[in-house]
Amino acid sequence: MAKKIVTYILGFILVITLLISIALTILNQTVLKKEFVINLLEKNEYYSKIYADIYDTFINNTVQTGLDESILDGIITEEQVKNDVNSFVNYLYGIGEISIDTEGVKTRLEENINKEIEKNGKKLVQNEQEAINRYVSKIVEIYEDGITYAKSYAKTISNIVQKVQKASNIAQIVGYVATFVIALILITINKLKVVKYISVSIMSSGILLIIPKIIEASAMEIHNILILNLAFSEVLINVIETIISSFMITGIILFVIGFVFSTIYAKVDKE
Amino acid sequence: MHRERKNNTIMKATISNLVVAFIYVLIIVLTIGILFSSTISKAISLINTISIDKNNETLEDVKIDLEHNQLQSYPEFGSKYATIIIEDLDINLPLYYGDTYSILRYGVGQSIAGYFPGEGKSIICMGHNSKKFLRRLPEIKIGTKIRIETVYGNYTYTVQETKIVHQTELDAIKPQREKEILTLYTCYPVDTLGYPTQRFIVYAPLD
Repeated sequence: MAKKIVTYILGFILVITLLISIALTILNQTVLKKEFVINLLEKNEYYSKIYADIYDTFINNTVQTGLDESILDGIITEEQVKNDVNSFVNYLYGIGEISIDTEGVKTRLEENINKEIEKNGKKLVQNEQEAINRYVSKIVEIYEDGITYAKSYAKTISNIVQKVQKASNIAQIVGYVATFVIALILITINKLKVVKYISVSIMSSGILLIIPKIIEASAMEIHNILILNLAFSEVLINVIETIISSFMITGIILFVIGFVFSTIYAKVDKE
Repeated sequence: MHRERKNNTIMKATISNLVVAFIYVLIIVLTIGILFSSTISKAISLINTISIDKNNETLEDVKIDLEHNQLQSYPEFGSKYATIIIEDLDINLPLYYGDTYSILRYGVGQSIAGYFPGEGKSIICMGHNSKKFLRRLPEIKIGTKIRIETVYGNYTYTVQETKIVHQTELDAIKPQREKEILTLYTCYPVDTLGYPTQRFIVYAPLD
């Protein structure tokens, strides 16, 4: 009897270690992996959407300046936005420093403004020069914010991401080792029924991995998430959906494997 | 007979394994529920808070309850629900609900921090100072009439005061609830190049 209770308790612990290991593997392969995020940005056409968004904000800020919108021509390109966004993402994952071409934006904009003023033969008074300087600073700030959202928080976010990455990798390895050790203990305790206990644990882990999908479908409105802007929201929705779907698919596979093994064991045991 | 009994036994064993699996799940779900229920519900409610449902109400649905001076349903954010007219200055512009830069490219924007015409409180509107929009606003005189024609009624306001403030003086455009006053403003000076840091504000109570 005592042996049976210990076996069930170990089976229960096996569910937890298996669940944690698989969940962390999924997280490590998705949101905590830089390549996954970059691929997702590419897939969602994030760069071109952000480029359009930033350009639109430039125009919105130019309307009331008395300057022609043509001064914005060529001050940023989609390729430059892509490079700057990627540099920021790399930084968040602990690779390199943030290198956003704000100097380039500033120089090109100032050149365009000077050409425009020259073309109209206008002489600037001091107030106007100051106002133009403020406008240029504003445009540079818009560009930087458009790429990073909040540069001042970048260091903090990067630190958190790296700490989570490290902890998650260690926890994943510990989880698998613990799973393996518990499985070994189960084999030692009850060699004959080990398949039964392990398959039950696998089934339980499978069911638990399906639960986030059930919660998502019944209590959350992930498809309607709107935060910062549409492009960012789409990426965020995609990240959450990918994680939940990966949980669900892995959960179904585990449940089926557990069920099949459990049935086979029952059959073999009978025979 | 023997085969059938064997199958039954296999099925019973499988079902019993399934039951054990579900008991494990139940224990874990209950434990998580007890330990983290408030964190989970906070996370779900946070996600639902940042999930915006599309407003399917049309402008015809926007009506005012005259008894309580309150709109029964509001225009969708970003929709053009009125026209603002200052005949003396030749201004006739669409009025949108919302004041984001993208809205201000198309007309006058109404701040969501204020109230709607007819609600008896502050209506805060703004527009760019370009020729297309409110370039001539600083020419406005005390006593000038400003009309707002909404989808649910027309309202006339008379200019009582004008003011030039720095953009950081936010008290000048703070909404109040005692009296219906239209606060309309634009960037100032209007004919300068670059980013203006002052605001020309018009205060016009309802007639």
